[in-house]
Amino acid sequence: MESKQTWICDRCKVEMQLMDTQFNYLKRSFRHKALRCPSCGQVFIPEELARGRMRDVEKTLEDK
Amino acid sequence: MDAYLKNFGECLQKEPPFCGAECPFHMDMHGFIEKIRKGMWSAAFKTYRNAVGFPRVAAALCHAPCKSVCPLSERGGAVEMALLERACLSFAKDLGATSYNVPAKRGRIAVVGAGAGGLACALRLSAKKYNVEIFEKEDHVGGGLCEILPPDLLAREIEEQFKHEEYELRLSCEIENRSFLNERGFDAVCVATGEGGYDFGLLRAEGDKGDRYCLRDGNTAWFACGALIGDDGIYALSGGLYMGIVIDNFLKTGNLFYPPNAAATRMVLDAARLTDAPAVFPQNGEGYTEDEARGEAFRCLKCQCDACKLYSDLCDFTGKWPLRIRDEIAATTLPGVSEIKATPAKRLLSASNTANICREICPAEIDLEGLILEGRRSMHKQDKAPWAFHDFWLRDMDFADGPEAALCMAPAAAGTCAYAFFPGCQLGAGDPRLVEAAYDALLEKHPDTALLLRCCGAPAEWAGNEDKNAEAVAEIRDAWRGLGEPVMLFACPSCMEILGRRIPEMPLRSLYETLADRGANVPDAGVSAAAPCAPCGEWAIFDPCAARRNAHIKSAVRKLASEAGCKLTPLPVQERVTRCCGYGGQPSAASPEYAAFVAEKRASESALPYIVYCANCKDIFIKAGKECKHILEILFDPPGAVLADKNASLNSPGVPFRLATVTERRHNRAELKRSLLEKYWNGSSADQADRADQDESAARPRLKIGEALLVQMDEDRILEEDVREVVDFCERTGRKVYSEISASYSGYRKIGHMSYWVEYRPTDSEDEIELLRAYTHRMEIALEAVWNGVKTNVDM
Ligand code: SF4
Ligand code: SF4
Ligand SMILES: [Zn+2]
Repeated sequence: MESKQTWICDRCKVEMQLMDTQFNYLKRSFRHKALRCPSCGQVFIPEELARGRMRDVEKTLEDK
Repeated sequence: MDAYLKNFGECLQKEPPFCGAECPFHMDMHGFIEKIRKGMWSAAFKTYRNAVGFPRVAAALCHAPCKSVCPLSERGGAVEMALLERACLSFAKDLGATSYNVPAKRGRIAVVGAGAGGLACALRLSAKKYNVEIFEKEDHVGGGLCEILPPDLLAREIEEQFKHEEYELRLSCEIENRSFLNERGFDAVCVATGEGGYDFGLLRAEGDKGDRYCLRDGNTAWFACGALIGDDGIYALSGGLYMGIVIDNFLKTGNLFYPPNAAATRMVLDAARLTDAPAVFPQNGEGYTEDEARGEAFRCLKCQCDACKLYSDLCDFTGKWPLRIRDEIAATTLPGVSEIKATPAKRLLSASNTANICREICPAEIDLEGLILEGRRSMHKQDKAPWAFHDFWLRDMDFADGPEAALCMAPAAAGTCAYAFFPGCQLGAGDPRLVEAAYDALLEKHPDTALLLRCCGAPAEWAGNEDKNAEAVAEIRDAWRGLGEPVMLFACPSCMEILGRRIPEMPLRSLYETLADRGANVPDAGVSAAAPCAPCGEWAIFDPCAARRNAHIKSAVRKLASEAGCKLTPLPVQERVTRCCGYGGQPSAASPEYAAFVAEKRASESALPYIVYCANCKDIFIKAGKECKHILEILFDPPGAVLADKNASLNSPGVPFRLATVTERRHNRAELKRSLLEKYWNGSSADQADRADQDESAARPRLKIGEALLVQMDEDRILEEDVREVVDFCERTGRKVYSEISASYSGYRKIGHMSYWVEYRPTDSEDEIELLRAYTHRMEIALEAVWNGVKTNVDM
């Protein structure tokens, strides 16, 4: 199910795509692929990502 | 920071055990015992041999002075160290001397006398690969030892221990004066001519620093040791080994340094460590079997100062000693960028309690928690503390101190007030009825009692944010002055402890002492048997860490509880060592595991339900599944709902108590303010303003949130207000993504530091939206407004 899930930017009515996105945390910046609207740039972070991999990276950065 | 680091210099962790200090050789007792426990006989033997030089000689000579200081001597008998040593000699497979592969050193040493002292000194120095020459006036070695030990044992032992070493032995060669050796270019001379032997002037000599038994003569340093200076028996042997160290030090540094070879210990053993097992005696009357020896080794307490390990939850949880934690904190708080230096304690600093238990139980008063708070301040100042560790509570504090919840009112009737009630922000958040009931009782007793609803500033103190803390304290001081400097009555021991420290001129008292005073108006109905969970039966009072040193509060609460009909049984440890429930210092964001570990430890100290008098203790215990009541619940058993709002029915009589969610805690505070204003001050302008606020929010569609999601949000500390704000934002700006599968919208907004995400969908009803998900992340999504060089001008 999850893999077939499609997300559509509600402003531009186009499908979200995995694209480079920049994140900042605790004075560090890095790029990672995330779902974005190819037209307006709006980002979408699914819950699984926020609770999973993102949480792990946050933890690592908090310890650094 | 320096003062704290200096304080740690006093730590006794590395002090030797009693037996080790008393042992003539200062053997590494813990290592020795541990090896025997494991049955590592050869390794244990090696420890012994390294300490005593000539193990067979030492075993025959030693009268085990260590036994006289062993704390077990009156509890089943001192550990039989001598028998253990002999067991090593019996069971070690490898009794050979160790060969040390070290390069030859410059330095020529003459040893005068080949008795116990001289041989021992020669052994140490030749093993360090100095050039050693022994002069003995007799035609054989051994001196006084020959009278005590069988000649063949002595000869074998000397041969064995010197097996890998080179040295010159000059028998029948009596030295008559210092110049003989001086002229031969010796750098140092060890004189060990035995009891009554020739002393070369050393018995009355003093070294450069006033040390006895040493002198400088030209380029040669002279030292005396052994029976010549009164060290007989086993002490001649240990003195000779020690001489080896003294001379080695002289050759390295040129200092004539010869302090006495006594090692005192400052070690303090916690009485809880004492046991009563009887000493193991060898069945055959002579020596231990392997099992007997190991049994005896297990009886040893391995004495060490470890009060911190026994009582500090942080040491227990991390398995680290305070000295190690100090090192980690010192490294972490060192100014500099973290890319190039280690920051091992970054999380630990916030993942710990701050309730000063270490200083309390530590015989050296090592202030581990003080260091931790200082570390938090340092990290905050350097802007290096991860905000997420304390952010939630700082925002919570802002709310408690903000217009919706804070209140400072003198009673309408009274001109000046003699008292002011400071319930603290958490009591009303969890259960506003308790604040109201307590205030009622206070007014009945002292009608001139003002009310001050707000936070004491603890979250800022715990976050290391001194400015914010000072601001809160200044506001409280002003409010207190504005009320005419009344006596402050505290419901929360933490508020009381913190503000007592911060505003020393403010007179303070606990609510419980005031209630316990005769004449206090505590309603009898509160103890009626008809009430659900009536306080009959047995309870244990759990004292909060902040009340540790306050005997008055402790006894007042006990008095109140027993008068209410509770049968009290003391907690075995908590009464003696009053530790934190896990809330103090707010470690749960940085380490929920640590907070849960502490809560579980405290909760499991007794199977009895607890009576607490700190709102935070109550929340912690309820969350840990422990039956627990606030003393005010027992006293007042207030009617009505715990929750001010819509979920009221959840806490009606007969329904098991449920903790308020983070959202409800805010509503409760606002509602408390509103209802108190209404009750005692006939409403007010502030009240009106709040109502206007409410009307506005009532105009928006309602959020429908399922029970599971509510629980999850509470766990994640997501407020319904936060969710509301994000939904409104998404709807207003159209910044949301659509999922066809679930026909739902998702979007986020950064509130404060945190990014909040929601997934929601419209319902059949116009004025209701269903919330499907709520979650957060701490990372910030950057540069979203600037995409492909196109600046979108959305409302971010
Ligand atoms: S209790 Fe712990 S911190 Fe205190 S002196 Fe002993 S070992 Fe050191
Ligand atoms: S109990 Fe063990 S460590 Fe303590 S003094 Fe006795 S032998 Fe030494
Ligand atoms: Zn778009």
